[in-house]
Amino acid sequence: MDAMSRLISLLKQLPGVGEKTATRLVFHILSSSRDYGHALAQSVADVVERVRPCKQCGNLSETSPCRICTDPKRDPTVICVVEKVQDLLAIENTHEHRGLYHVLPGTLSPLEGRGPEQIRIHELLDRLEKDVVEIIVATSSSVEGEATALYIKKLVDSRGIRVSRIASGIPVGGELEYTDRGTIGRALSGRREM
Amino acid sequence: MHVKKINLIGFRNLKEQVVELADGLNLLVGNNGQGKTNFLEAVYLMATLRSFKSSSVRDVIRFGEDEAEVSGEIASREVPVKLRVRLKGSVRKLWVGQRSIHSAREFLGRLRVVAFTPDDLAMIKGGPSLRRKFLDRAAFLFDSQHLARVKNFNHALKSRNRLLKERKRADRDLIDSFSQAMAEDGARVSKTRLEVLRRLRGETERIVEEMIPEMSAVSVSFEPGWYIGADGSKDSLLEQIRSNLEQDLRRGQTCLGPQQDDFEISMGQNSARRFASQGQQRTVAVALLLAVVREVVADGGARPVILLDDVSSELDAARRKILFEQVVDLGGQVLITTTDEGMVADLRERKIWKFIVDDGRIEPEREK
Ligand SMILES: Nc1ncnc2c1ncn2[C@@H]1O[C@H](COP(=O)(O)OP(=O)(O)OP(=O)(O)O)[C@@H](O)[C@H]1O
Ligand SMILES: [Mg+2]
Ligand SMILES: [Zn+2]
Repeated sequence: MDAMSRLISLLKQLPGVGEKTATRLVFHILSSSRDYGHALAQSVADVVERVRPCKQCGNLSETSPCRICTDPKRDPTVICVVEKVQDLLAIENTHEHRGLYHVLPGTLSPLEGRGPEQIRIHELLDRLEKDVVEIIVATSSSVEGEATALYIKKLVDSRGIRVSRIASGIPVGGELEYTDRGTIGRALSGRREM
Repeated sequence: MHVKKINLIGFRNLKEQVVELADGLNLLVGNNGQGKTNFLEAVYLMATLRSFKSSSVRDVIRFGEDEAEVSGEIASREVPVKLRVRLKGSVRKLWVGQRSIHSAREFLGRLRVVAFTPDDLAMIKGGPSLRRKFLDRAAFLFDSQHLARVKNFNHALKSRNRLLKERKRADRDLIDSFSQAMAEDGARVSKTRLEVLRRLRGETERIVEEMIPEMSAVSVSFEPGWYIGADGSKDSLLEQIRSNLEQDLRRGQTCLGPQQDDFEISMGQNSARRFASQGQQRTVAVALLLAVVREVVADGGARPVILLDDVSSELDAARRKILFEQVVDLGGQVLITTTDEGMVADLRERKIWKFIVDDGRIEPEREK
């Protein structure tokens, strides 16, 4: 395969990019300055090389623990549990949450073969050994998101830690990532104890 | 209420086209596999955001394409609206007029459709899942959240059943999380089914007695798959599911709950399922359909659009005539599909708009 077709076929693997878009992007890169092309390639390499999940919370970062986990101004007694890093970013943008995070990769899904071991729930429990007073579960309102929240509640119940669920301001089956800041902010502040 | 115009792109085998429909009786004639059912499904999709035949709405996207779009002009007593649904992979986009709509809840309810298929005609004889499907579609006309709840419930049920299959190794906390998820929507699902059947009961009994005079003392009753009791609360359903855990683990599935809901039609002491003739059973099904339409109208809603898919071939001439006449007499928009025009000969004296369906193309028949 020649270089151009190879880049097109690689770009096509990105979500929302089809043959047409991929081709257009490649032509655009070729018609821009050579510096741009090199910078783009280097930057992709840097991201792949340097960005890693934070050992503590699962956030993507160049340092581990990440910037949020090591920030002395944040409240380590409150942990917000999300399904993916994009949701963490959406919540960060609201500036409503001053605690830490725990990113589960996904939700519990028996139908897709994801159990507690696959989604870092035990890592979450380990973190509770320190002085955590509240867990805010911000998983989506899908069946699996709800079941995940209920499961966490069960595991944590005996430890005297408050478990709260973000308010249902997020549209049913809705994703945090696509919900506007105001709605997410209200969902956080209107959270209820489970 | 009626669909004036419908615009199709990449929808099953249907060609990209605009079809103008009449506010009356539209007859779609064509051989097997030409796209008649698919066309009704396109109308159904605008009303429910669901597929007619498949459990996944993505199935409507034409083979080999990644996008399908259906839009339609809906005329009603209020202002006419334009509804548009676009499906791209698993992403759904909705518009009402020019406005993009983000939640199904906001979109639904603008077009009301009552659909009736050969599966519905077979529902008295057939298994309970056919009766639940019929009831759920009827319930949706009165509560536009119903089908979404059924979907969530089924998803939670399937998840729980998968966990139960692990038997001894099963994580009980995990199972219980899904029991709770089942109860969350499940209790409401059963209660809505019960309420809808209550609504339909009187009308259905009257219509059956009218259509089949030899069938008397007809009665319709709901048979819930769990003990609903007076309040039918989530908590009560959850408690019942929980108390059945050991049995469920042995069987590898959830034995009790809305997935077992059913209804029974009886004539005196006898069950119609076991004692009525095939023809009588189909007539009872037709009566249920007519009851749905009448109740929707009585509910103060605009007359729903009625979709009758291929039901004519399953009924004898006399009952077909009653069905068609009753449906047409209700006066709204009706879409009937058939392979054999002779089937609708009884309607000759009525005004009919006829369309020929051929290889995914829907053409109004030229005036002769
Ligand atoms: N996603 C799809 N893309 C393309 N074609 C499809 C798709 N789904 C179904 N079809 C085709 O549509 C045709 C069936 O259309 P449809 O069910 O509307 O037929 P029909 O006219 O109702 O026939 P019948 O009289 O047998 O009920 C079949 O040939 C089927 O292969
Ligand atoms: Mg058909
Ligand atoms: Zn971190």
